[in-house]
Amino acid sequence: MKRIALLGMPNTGKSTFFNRLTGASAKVGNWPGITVDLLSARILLGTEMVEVVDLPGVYNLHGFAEDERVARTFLEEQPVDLLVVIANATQLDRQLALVLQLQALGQPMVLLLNMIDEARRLGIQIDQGRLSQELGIPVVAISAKHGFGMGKAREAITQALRSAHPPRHADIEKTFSEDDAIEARLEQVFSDTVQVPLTATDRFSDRLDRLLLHPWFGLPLFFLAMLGMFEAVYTLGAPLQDGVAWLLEVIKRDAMEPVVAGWNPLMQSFVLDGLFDGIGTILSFLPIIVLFFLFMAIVEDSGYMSRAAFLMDAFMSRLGLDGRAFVMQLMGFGCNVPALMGTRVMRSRGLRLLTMMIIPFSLCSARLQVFVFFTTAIFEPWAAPLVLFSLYLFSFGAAFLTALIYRRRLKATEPLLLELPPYRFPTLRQMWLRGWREVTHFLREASGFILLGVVLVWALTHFPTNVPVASDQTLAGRMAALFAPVMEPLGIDNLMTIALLFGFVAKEVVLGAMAVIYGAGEGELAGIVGRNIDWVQAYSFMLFVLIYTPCLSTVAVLKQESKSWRFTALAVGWPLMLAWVASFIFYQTARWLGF
Amino acid sequence: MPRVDLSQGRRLPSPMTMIIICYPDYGELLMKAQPKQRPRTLADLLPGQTGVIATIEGDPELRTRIQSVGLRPGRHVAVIRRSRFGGPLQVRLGTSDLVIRPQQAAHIMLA
Repeated sequence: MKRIALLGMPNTGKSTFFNRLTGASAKVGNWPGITVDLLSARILLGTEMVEVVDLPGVYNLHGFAEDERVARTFLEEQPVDLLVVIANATQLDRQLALVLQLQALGQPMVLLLNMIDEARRLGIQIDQGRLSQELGIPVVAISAKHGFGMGKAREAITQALRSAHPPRHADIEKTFSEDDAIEARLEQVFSDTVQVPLTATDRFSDRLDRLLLHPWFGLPLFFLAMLGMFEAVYTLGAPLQDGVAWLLEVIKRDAMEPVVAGWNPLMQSFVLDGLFDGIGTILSFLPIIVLFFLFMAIVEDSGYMSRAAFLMDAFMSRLGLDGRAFVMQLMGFGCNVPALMGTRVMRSRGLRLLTMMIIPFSLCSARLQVFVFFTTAIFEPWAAPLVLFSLYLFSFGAAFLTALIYRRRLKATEPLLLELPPYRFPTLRQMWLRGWREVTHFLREASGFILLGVVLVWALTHFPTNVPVASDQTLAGRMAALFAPVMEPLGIDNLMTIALLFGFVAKEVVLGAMAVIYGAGEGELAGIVGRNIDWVQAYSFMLFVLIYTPCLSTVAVLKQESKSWRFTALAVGWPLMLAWVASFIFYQTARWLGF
Repeated sequence: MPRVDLSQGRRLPSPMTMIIICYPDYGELLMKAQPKQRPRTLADLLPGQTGVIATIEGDPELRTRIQSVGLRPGRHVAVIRRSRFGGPLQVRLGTSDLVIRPQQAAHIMLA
């Protein structure tokens, strides 16, 4: 099968074109020697099936950035029949450099001038015929976003493929020396073919920036925008999640329970509380992931992401991060899972991993449930909001402390050099495609892991079978007894330790687990907990819940995104240690002070 | 008068202190107060000022990176705005806008 590689600088709409060309059929593929996800798809062009690979955006084929290394490795290792290069038609003064550099490889090539609608609006005139002649390759003007020129682009690609030589590997080393000659040629080609009016800037963007990047109002507006998005995702998402939960409950009660009614009790419990609840855990994340990425598509495509970096960079750079990390951290306060997936916009692996280290400290909505329960059960009404607020402070504190500690090990390898694109709004199609793709990716990569974890915890709390579920005598109870010397200095007793074991799967089940453990309904739980533990123990427990592993799904996504077991172990181990130390210091100090 | 060099990335105190010193923005005030001097690097430009890139200094990795986004010798650049607290600059280059930290902008020498 013939293979096409899609190349271009960042922010040229390359992925939009890829989506247009391939529809939703794209899959994340694995390539030898390449650690990032590359989308590829098989499509019918003319009469033959062709594989299209979307390479990461690169500025320079000889660059040192990680994406550039990836693109270079791919071109060197994989035979390619045709290069399709996407350039932003409004920025040909910069973008032709890459085109010329790629041309030096001597592979067949088609150049697509994307965002031609924007270029026309700005009054930029491009002599396509002359450009095609000077470069010696087909040139097609398109608008990938609106679908303009796609037919011509397909045709040009099909034509070029037909006359292509046998596929070859690129010899990129050889072309290194030609970089200087390219600069001179760039000036020549550009001045021959492109006319830019004197004031070719987007006035609308300029005016909006004057407000949104204002020295005083910029940051408050940024926080407001983040708050608005946060609210939108979770006010829309919560009823959807409730709906999924309700649906699962109905299926469990009306369809599953009658089916397994005749089975032996252990198998019944395994199917209902192990497998089915495991699947339920996975499904409950889907609405939030779709919604989150619908909104992320807006934030990313609108160009606000680089504005956030501009606004927050002064502070975040001290932590070894940049402003985009802050956006993801804030989004983590709803749910850590999509926030972790959202770090994919960061192209430097060090920066991305560091951001992925701090996101799990964001106090997500599942943990909030536990905290609201405890604060109302244990604390006076006047103190409860303050307690909750202090937990939010600890959430930020733990994240920033972690960044400070790990910023040298997980170093951002690229200097911050971002583009500030004009404000744009994504089409519904783009938004939907994004949400859909992330959900299928999550299902494929993380669901097995989550299911396995849920079944494991089920086994721990149900074996041996002759004792009450989740009691002291189960495997989980024995594990808790084993941990007792470690957990007692935190004021966390055996029963609560079992609840923490449950909490490893998902924080939503902590309260339910406690109800089972204490042998009470969830309604009576508050009274029982209030009688059994004092506020120091409760706060110590909440600190632990806040900082240790948020949930199995987070761990699964940490692995899915980092593709590294070592990093996943670190991202689970470090918070566990930090949780213990924080709870220990709090509990012992409070006791020492006489509380 | 001591020259305030934003390009060296002043070490900022704790976030709390930062909030206290944040209004008014002394850094910007001090920059405006310094005697008019020919800007030497991109990091020296005030919002609204323009310059022509002469050379790019630093290690090859940084130079390649800066040049490949289009900041090449001979190009006209304008600083549109600077982020507060010594944060990044918004730089206009032809029809593109870029965000660059002062530490990196200081490697771009102006003619």
